[in-house]
Order: sequence, then structure tokens, then C-alpha cells
Amino acid sequence: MNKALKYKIVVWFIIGFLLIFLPSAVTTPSQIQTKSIVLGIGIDKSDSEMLEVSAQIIIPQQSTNYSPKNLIASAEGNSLIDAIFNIEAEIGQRLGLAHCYVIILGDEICSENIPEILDFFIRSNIMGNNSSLVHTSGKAKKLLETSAQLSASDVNNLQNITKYNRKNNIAADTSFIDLFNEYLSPAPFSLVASISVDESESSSSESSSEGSSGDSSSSSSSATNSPSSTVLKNDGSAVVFKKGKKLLTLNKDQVIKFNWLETKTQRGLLTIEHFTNNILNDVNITLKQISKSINFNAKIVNNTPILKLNIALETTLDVIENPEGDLYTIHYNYFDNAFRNAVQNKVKQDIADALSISKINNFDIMNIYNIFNTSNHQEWKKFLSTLENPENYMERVEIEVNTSIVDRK
Amino acid sequence: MKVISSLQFTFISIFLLLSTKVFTITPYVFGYAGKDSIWSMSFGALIDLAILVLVIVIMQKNKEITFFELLKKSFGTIIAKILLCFLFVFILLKALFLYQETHSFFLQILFDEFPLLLYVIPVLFITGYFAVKGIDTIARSIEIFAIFVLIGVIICASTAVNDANFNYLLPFFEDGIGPSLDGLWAQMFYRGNPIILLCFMGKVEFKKHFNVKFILSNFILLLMLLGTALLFYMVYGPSARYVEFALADLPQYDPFVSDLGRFNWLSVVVCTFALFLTSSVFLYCLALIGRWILGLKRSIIPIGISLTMVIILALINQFSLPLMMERIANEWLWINASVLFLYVLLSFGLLIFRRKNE
Repeated sequence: MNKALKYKIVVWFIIGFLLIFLPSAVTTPSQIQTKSIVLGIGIDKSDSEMLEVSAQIIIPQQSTNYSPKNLIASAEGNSLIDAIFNIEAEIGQRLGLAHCYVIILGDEICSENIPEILDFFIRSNIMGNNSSLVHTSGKAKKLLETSAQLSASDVNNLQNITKYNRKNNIAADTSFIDLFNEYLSPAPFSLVASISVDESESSSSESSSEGSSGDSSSSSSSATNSPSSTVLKNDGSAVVFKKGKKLLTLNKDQVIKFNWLETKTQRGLLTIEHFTNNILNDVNITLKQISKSINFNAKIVNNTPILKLNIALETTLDVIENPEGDLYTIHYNYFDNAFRNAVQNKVKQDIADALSISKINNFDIMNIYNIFNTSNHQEWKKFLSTLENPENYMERVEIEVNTSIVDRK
Repeated sequence: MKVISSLQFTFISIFLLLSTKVFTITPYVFGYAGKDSIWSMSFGALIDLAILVLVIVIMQKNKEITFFELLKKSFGTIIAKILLCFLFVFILLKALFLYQETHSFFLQILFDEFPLLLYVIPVLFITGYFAVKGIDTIARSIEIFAIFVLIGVIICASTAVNDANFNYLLPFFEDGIGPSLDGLWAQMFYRGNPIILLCFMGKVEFKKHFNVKFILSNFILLLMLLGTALLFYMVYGPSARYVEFALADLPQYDPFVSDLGRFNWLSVVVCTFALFLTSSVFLYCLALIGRWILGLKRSIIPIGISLTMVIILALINQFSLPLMMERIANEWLWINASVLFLYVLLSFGLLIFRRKNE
């Protein structure tokens, strides 16, 4: 009897529950009507010195292809949330940022403290932590508009450009939470990929330049809607942020030199120019880098921080050509001691250049502070205390490089 | 009287340890201990383990009587009931926090808008129903779902291994032991769940070598939780302080995972099974203690009282997790830490008392 009564209570509860909630479930508008899907956010400084936020929004529609209709909505505000509220008021929907894959920073806004501007995103948890951060030399809104013209199936759309080359280019993989991590670390330097809008009509030449430049990480990726329209251009350049503000821009040739010190960048092309040995005479040899492993050994000797690097490369031959560009169809036995030395010298030279750029501009995107601080904490503190200005520690850093290379036929 | 097997009891203990340790505690501790948080968490895990050993020894020594009977025998009825009142408050606050944590978790992971009533009524009903059905039903359910929950925790945590950077934790104790101790104190609200196991005294069917297996399995779970926390700190680095739900955010962060499709549903599974069933355990214990205090035979009234108090306290905190976390840091931490300290002393007292009697 008791069991039957309990059972009835449950049944009546379920009936009551359905009666209360079913009408509201049926009559409540679907979320797609009240919430928009944002793919990208652009942040600029407006003419009135306010924050201008733009959002690339998908407009759902019945379609037989995978090309969504996009809308660019933008509004000004005193803060990020203020501008977002204004966009919401303008489009009549709330902004859904869960699918936002990119945050684009216009060049002008980069003189402000970016983590302070983005603070709302990281605290509110309304956006995924791994949204990529991208700098553009012009207006972020312009980049979003160009991106919106591209179809989703286009391999060179903004999403692919920001996500591609993750293993090739250290700047291409900076998410906005990385910026916060670096901002909060003792060496607050970040490297952010720079993508620009190219309004020239040479789109086909841009996209065909990949590979011929000699290094995949410095190649251009472009996307066109029509031959004469604007293109998205990712030429491998990047912007260095110091304490959340833009410090300087590095071109693609400078950026790839920093790749040697980054463990995440695995692939790339390595070109040894004007190589001569017993068989080959004055040829350019390009190798495909398959993998790379780096061992750090940080020591402070006579108050000089010395970073010893052991870089192990696994490569395969891509092409041998003479300076005139004629290809060697037969693969000669190029892989001898002279070639190993040439590779070692090339890596050494690149790292020396990277260090030189860092010293001149006093930035540390190679994370040298953290390497010494974590491995030789006491000695590092002691070393810093001997400096007149501890922020200038890069001036005293030396790097020793040992490169080993394995050829995979 | 023996209603749950030793295996079921082990799983209940595991769920109690798991429930408040996988989501908010990890980023919360980081706010106090910074990169020494993993040490704070380790010290906290040691405290949990020590309490667990203490509780299991008391339970083994008093296999045939309930906790209330033990207290009555030792201190008399009035003091026993007063002590149980403290335990009631201790469990009530934890249950409330668990309900709130689950609500906020769903709000963040599953829905952008989540009507409060749609959460409160079904959840309180389901957990209340479990509690009415009794510990054997809860224990059996936990026994069935435990393995899936544990696998879910492991997968959620391990997806972000690629992004882990051990350097975020170095150098250890850069500012001395102070931050670690701050972090340890901050998590005292979350710790001490094994004390709740005293409510199951006299209901567990102990088998041979149970103690070793029980402590070993809980120790492995604590190591697993520490591993999850370690990964979380290594993945998020200084940004850990901004994250609300550690286990839910770990699979979100990894670009590899987000390219393939997120594993969030696994954390939803973990949350649904682990938190709901643990809430049911809390509610059952509240009902049991309520019955002991009020001298009732049925659980309906104490469950009704407990749920009403949960709703009132949640309303006071506006059903807001940040507000509740602030209240925990300022008030509830002291309450629960005091009760925990009292019960640890009491447990030692009970052991000494028994030895003298013997």
C-alpha cells in the first residue's frame, strides 16, 4: 500500500512538473532567435577615442551549401562590455561568443593595454579560452569584413589562416589566454601574428609565393573572393607586445629566426644557400624539417647567463637548385660533414640574429627570463641584483648552440 | 542493519572526496597560493587522507553500533545531539555549495539561459527522492556509475596534456611556505568530507583486508585529483585564477580537442552522476542526522527541512556562485573548519575513551 502510494506521488509529481513547465518550453522562442552566433571579434580605437567593437555574425538560413551569410555589426563604447551591449541593441540579439575563434586587434588599439581591454572576456567565461589573437596593421573591422566575404569552404578563410601553420610559426598560435599568461609572467612579452588586408589585385601571385620564398613559415597565404577584390594576407610577420602594449613589428624573416627556440614549432623549411662540397658547387639546398627537439641547459658563469641549446633536427631533402634556379634532377650525396657544418652555422646565425634583435629592442619572447628563473632561481636573482636596471637582462645573455641533424631519405 | 557492502562504501567515500574537488577548488586555491597551489592541494589531500584513516579506524572499532549510539554512549544524549547539530550544519553548507556548483556548471557549459526553477525543482526532487529511497539505492547507483565517472575525469584531464608546461610551477616555494599555507587554509571548507562517512557507521559490511583496500583506493583517487590539479595549473599558468570550473575548462583549452570536437560532454557526465549522487548522499546524511536529533523514524520531515534550508540559504546568496564563494571565504570557511577540528578532536577522544574502557 505504502509502495503504491509512493509510486503515485512520483507519477503526480511528473504530471505536475510537465503541466507547469511544458507550456513555457513550447512557447519560449528558440535560442537562435534571441542569440546570434559570433565567429570573430574585432577591436579598434574609434575616431572619438572610444573602443569600437565589431562582430562577425552568422545569419542562419536554409541553404544547400556550407556558406553561411555573414553580418558585420559594430558599435562604440567606453569599455568592451559597453560596446557589446550597444551591438546587441543594434542587432536585437544577444551576442553568443562560444564559437568565436578569433579576436582581431586593430593597430591603433594596440597602443593601449590589451589585457585590460580583454579582461571581460577572460573573467566572464562566455568565450572559449583558445580563441586566437591576431593583430592587423589596419582596422580590425576591415579585416572582419574581408573575412566575411569569403566562403566557409575556402581553404584560405580567416579561420584556417589563424589556425594553420600552428607548428610552423610561433606567432600563429597565440590565444588570448596565452596573452594573459605572458602578461602575468615576470617576462611579460607576447608574439602575436599579424594578418593584413591587401587591396592590390595581385592575389594570384600572393598565393603562389608559398614555397618559393624558401621557408614555409614565411610564406604568404592569401584568399580571394574575386581576382580584383581584397585579400587576407598572412606573410608571417608578427607583433611583439610588452606588458600588454605593442612594442614593435617583426617581419617574416625575423620571426622565423625565433622559431628555433620554440619547442612547439616542428615543421618548416631550411635553406642552405651557396653550398659547395666535393660534388656540388654553389647550389641552394632546401630541406623539409620534419621534427625538432630542443634541450635547454641554463647556467650562470661569471655573472653571465649562458643558455646552452641542443637542437636535434630530422629533415628530408626538398630540392637542390643552382643560383639560377635550375633544379638538380639527380639527388647527389650532399649529406656530408661540410653540409652538417653548414646547417649548424645557419642555425647558429639565425639564433644569433634573434638574440641580437632581442637585445637591441630589449624584449624576451624567447622566454629566457623564465628558463633561468625556474632552473637557476637563486643565481638568477643574484645576477639580476647586480644589474643597474634588472629589466635589461637580455643585454648580458649568451646562447651556445649545438645542432644535430638526421636525414630521412 | 548492514545495508551496504564494503565496495559500495568505498565508492561512496570516493564520490565524497571527488565531489567538491574537481571544479571550483583548483582555481580558487590558485587565488591564494599562486604557483605553489599544487603544494597546498597536496597538503589538503594529506589532511583528507588522515581524516579518512581516523574515520575508518573508529568505524572498525564500532562495527555494530551507529554513530549516534556511539555518541550517546560516550557523552550522553544531549551532548550527542548538540554534536550532531554541528555535523548537520557542516553537511548542509557542503550540500548547498554542491547544488550551487552544479547549477553554475550547467549554466556555463550547457545553457546560456537556464531558468532557475527548471533546475531547482527537478534536482531537489531527484536528490530528495534518492535520499528517501535510502542508502542502499544510492550506494547501488554509485557503484554502477563510479567507473564511468572516474574514466570521465581521467579523459577530461588528459586531453590537455599537450599544453602542459611544468615551468609554470617553478621555482617551488619562491616566496616561502606562506602562500601554500594560505592556500591550505582557503580550501578547508572543501576538505574533511570523510567525516561524513561516520554517518554510515554500523551499516557497512566489512570484509577481510578492507582497511588496506579502502585506504589504498582513496589514496589513488586523491593522487588522481592531484594529477588533475597539476595538469590544470600547468596548462593555465598564471591565468588559472580566471577559470571557474577546472575540469570543465581543461578539455576546452586544448586546440587539438577543440578542432576535433570538445569533450565537454564527458565533464557533463561526471557532473551529472557524481554531483547528483553525492548531493543525494549529503541529503541522506542530513535526513539521518535530522532523524537522530528529532527522534523520528521516517526521513521525509528531515529531508523537507534540509531542502527548505538549502533553498533559503541559496536565496540569501541569490543563487550566485561568486557570492557563495565570497561567503565561503569570509564565514563558512570558519564554520566548517571549526566543525572539522571539533570532530577530529572528538574522533581521537572516542578512540582514547574506548581504549580506556577496554
